[in-house]
Amino acid sequence: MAGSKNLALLFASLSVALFLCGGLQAAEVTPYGGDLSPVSSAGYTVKVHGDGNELELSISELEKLPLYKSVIETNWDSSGEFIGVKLVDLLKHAGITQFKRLYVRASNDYKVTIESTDEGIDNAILASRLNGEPFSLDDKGPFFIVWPDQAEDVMSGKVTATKWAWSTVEIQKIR
Amino acid sequence: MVPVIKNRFIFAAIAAILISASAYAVYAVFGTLGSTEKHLSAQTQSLVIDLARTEIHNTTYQNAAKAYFLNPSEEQKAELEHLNNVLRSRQILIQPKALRGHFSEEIEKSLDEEFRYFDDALEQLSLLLGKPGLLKTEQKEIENNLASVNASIAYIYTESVIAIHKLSIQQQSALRNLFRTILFLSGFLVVALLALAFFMLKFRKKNQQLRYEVDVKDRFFSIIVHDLKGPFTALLGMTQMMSQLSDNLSKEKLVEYSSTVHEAGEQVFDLLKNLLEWSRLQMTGAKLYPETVQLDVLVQDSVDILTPIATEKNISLTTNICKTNTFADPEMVRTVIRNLISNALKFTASGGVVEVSSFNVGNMVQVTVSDTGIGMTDKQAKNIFSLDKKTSTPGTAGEQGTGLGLPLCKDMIERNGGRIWAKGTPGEGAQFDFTLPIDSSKN
Repeated sequence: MAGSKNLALLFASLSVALFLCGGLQAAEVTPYGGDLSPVSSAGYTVKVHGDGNELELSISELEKLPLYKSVIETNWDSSGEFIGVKLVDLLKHAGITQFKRLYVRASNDYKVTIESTDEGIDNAILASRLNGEPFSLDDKGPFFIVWPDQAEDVMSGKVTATKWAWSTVEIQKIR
Repeated sequence: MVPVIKNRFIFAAIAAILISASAYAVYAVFGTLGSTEKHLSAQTQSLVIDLARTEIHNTTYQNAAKAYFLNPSEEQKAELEHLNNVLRSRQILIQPKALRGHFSEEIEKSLDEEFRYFDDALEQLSLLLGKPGLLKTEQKEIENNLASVNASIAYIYTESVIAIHKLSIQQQSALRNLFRTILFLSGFLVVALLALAFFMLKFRKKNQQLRYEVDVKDRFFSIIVHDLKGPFTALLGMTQMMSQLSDNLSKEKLVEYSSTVHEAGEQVFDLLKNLLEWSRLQMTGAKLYPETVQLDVLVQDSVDILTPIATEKNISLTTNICKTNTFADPEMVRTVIRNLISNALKFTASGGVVEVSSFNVGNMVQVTVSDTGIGMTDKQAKNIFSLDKKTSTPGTAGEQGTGLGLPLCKDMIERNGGRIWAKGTPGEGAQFDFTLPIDSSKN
């Protein structure tokens, strides 16, 4: 009797362990339903353009779009719950229904391109907040593109974090 | 002892070489890993620098173009043309040639396309600059083209960094595999060498054993050839003489000849006894029958048997044995004591002293047979127990030995858990000591 109880406990712990290990593969992305403190829009804007459309969104305008959250542990000093809009939702909002390549520019003049085929593009988030607070304009603000599906691989060094563009101020459809 | 030290030295040397080789392999692999990282990081840096420079040129171009739109002049135009040429020449620099082959086919195609865009954009700019006046739409086109060049640079940068990262991961993994292989091979080599060393030692031991056995057999032949020949010469000669001259022989001569024949017979008999005893001991599985032995009684028995010889040679044979019980094969101990006493008597001249004494040392009893005979050198004392080196020395009254007695004693004492050794001074005397375990249950 005691043996079968121990066996059941062992299976239970194994299942929990497997579940936890499975959960570590990618950070989960879920809709965010909480309230957010108001922020002055000075400096907190992003320009999205392509297909003849051009849109400049402030942080408050951006946060009116459906918001998502994802808890991500990063190698930088920014870890926790990232909140923002999905990149694909933002593009649709700006009238860009499909794309092949995006050109992203940061306030510190960092430039990078994003492909429609990039792994985890559907869950990529233009984060406006970390743990409920907006990013400092001196450090990763105004917006930070995070890739929850790649989180584990990026943090273990398997994949480069080139496309995790912080201080994003402009997103342009190139192709 | 020497071969053991030599083996240990060889083993230590091999171990040192192996450890150094492994350490060097670790150092080499990590060194290569480090240099690969450095090489890749240098490649990334130079590419990023070239891309940044190109971007700066592009921005300068953009600003110069804006200035030209506001105030078209020949000077501005020449400046624009110059910047255009610089940008076109940079195209070669920003092509990440070292990385070609590490991009996917799709990205390779895409990069080629990107360079074409880059080139087309600049070509278009050259054409537009050649026109006398620019329309608003043409100005817009120039701006779009310049933006496109910037996006191309960003794309080349992004894909190159990703390719370099992938390459670095691949090389690291290849080096890790190489490191694992080296470690495995070193381990295998160590095990193989250890096995080799083990078998070499075993073989050497076996070889030594075989050589010893060959030496023993040589000694047997030598004894049979030389030591048996002497007494038989006397036996044959004397008996022939006795049969041929039987009619003319006086009684005294007959007594003299027959005692010579008797001595020769005894000598052959002694030799035979020792040879039989020796071969019995040499046979594998020669059994030991240890029991409690009263040492004083056993010594006295031997002394009693040998006293007539001592008396005949005018030697004082005395004992000083403590009452100790030892645990050993009594026949073997008896043979040893008798051999040592008769040896002492053999090498001691008339008027000398032979003394047998004993004392206890810890859990062993030490028996000493000392004499005032001809003695021996240190070298002789060292070799006296070894069968392969020893030669028999005639006694003070011309007694013949077999050369088998002392090696036999050594073998017997060691079989009974004891040790035997000799020392002496030439002309002053010799001393033989041996130890045996005390039978604590009976003392």
